[in-house]
Amino acid sequence: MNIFECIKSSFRNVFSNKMRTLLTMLGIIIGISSVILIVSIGKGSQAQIEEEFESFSVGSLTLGMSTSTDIETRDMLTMEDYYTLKGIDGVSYVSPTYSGSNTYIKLLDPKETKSASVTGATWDLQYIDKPTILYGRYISKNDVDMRTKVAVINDTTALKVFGKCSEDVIGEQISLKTWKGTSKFSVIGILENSNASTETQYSDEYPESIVIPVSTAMRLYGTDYVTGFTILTDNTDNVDYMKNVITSTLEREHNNEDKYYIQDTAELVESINSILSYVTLFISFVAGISLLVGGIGVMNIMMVTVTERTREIGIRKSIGAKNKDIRIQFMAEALILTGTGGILGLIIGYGGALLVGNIVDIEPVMSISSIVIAVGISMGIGIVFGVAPANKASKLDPIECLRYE
Amino acid sequence: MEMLRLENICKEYNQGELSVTALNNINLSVLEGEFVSIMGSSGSGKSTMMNILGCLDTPTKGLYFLEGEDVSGYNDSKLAEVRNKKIGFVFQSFNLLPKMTAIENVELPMVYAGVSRKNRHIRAKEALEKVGLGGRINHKPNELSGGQRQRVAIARALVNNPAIIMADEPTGNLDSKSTFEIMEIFQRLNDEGTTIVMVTHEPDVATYTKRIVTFKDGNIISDEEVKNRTIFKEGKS
Repeated sequence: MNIFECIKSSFRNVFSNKMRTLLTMLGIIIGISSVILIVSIGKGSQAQIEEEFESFSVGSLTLGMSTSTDIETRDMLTMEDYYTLKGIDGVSYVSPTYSGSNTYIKLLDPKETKSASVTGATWDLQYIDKPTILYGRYISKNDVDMRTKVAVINDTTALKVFGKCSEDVIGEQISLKTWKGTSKFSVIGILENSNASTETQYSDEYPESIVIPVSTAMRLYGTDYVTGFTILTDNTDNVDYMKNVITSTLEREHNNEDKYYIQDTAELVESINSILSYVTLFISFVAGISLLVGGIGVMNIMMVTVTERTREIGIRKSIGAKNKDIRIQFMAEALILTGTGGILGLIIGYGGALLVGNIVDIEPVMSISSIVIAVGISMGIGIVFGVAPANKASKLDPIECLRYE
Repeated sequence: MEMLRLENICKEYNQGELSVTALNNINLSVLEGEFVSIMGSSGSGKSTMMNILGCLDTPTKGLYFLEGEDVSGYNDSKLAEVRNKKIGFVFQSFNLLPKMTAIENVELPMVYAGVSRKNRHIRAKEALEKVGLGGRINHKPNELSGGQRQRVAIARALVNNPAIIMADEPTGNLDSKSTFEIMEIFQRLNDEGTTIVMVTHEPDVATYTKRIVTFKDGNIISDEEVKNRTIFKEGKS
């Protein structure tokens, strides 16, 4: 009996009793759809987190004061530390950062202001953050040395302050208001807002992000210290080693201990991802149990089918079906049952993922591998739980079968 | 030509420690073109005989030659092949697959024989026409009368051009009118050269055949030609 005939007749047998087939497949459908739903939502949120962190340069480290300990004056970070860190082997770029607080920027309507996040930095920051420069230029060495009053803004800020984002904005002035008063800065460059995708809906809540020379920032806020450093190492394989070297160098310079903390974006992304994948794995495992139960349901129904169709088996054998033919027929039926259940589960699972994703604002990711695995697993269940009934059917004695009522 | 020959066939069943002899040293030869009735009361061994002749069962001892080929030692798979190619079954309870149409039922032996789809259809249609059901090929068994169902079964038995047709009480579930129809078909097929072995317990039905072999307690007690045979003539019955 050729395989095409076999599949055709199996389809007919499976779908001749639609209600029973549906109920039998239900276990598989529920199992597969929940696995697909969870995996695609899990992968979707993972992708989203990665995308958000891509704005930080991979391998970049953020050094700051440790918040848990008392800070004395000698512990404070200075521009001298900048030159020390620059000299460390393996440090490609380092930029001091001064994060100004309580700063407001005047918007297009001169009566309106909005909070601004002002970062004092050196030209090095452009090699670490790798921003896309739309117009103009980044901060230069000269700006830092001369403490020029220049600022690099991003496109969303340009729109809010000047109502446009074009070449014309370069050279225009922005007003920053601090506790010391209002200062004017010339715009020298416009960057693409790297957070635009996630930020748009909250754009009014987020402060406008502005970069000025670190020396200018220190004078603006009246301080001799910097808030921290952003560091890019060329040794991305051994981040922990670099973190140690950097902290111990600073601790030696300042003669202190446990005052500095280095955050590593790659590590952060990794730890979030690993938590997410454990959660995904665990829920998938629970869903997998329903697959197992579904598989047992399939076996149960196949056993019943074999008994119900004893006479048919006898008839088929009497007209020349070999044991092999009977076995293949029942295996094919089990496979069609579980395979169809798997495909339906796939569709329902993905539909559910789209729905859930829509609610929690995550775009589900459906990979070819998860499709193959889902259908593969359900077919595998068909094989595992179909073998016993198929063997039972194939070994029946034709004479007994023909006598069976 | 000798269609089948049994040499010292024995069949014993073991029921616990008890051994029951169903067939005891049976010797029988059936030639091509014969139409044989196997008669006997229940328990006489005629059903066992039928199962062995039909290759559904194997003898405990003895040799069974079907068209000169010794099939007594064949395994399940080879027996299935012999049943498929050389034997056509007609059962008392028709044994058609209820979900399939008449023509699909007739095609089934050819499916297992590996005949192509197109040829299957042509041959199944021919076989159904031969038993007078050319107009009902797409009916399902439950849409056909008993006699018609049995005719579908005969078409199915014929379709692989078997060496022999084994009919097990083929008229047992039929009224007298249908019985005549079926026996007429058997006689016509036999006239055309088909060898038929039929198990029956009705002496009336046996008179349509050419030879009656009677079993009792696992032995053949008589084997004689039918005198005063009931014969259908073309156009009257």
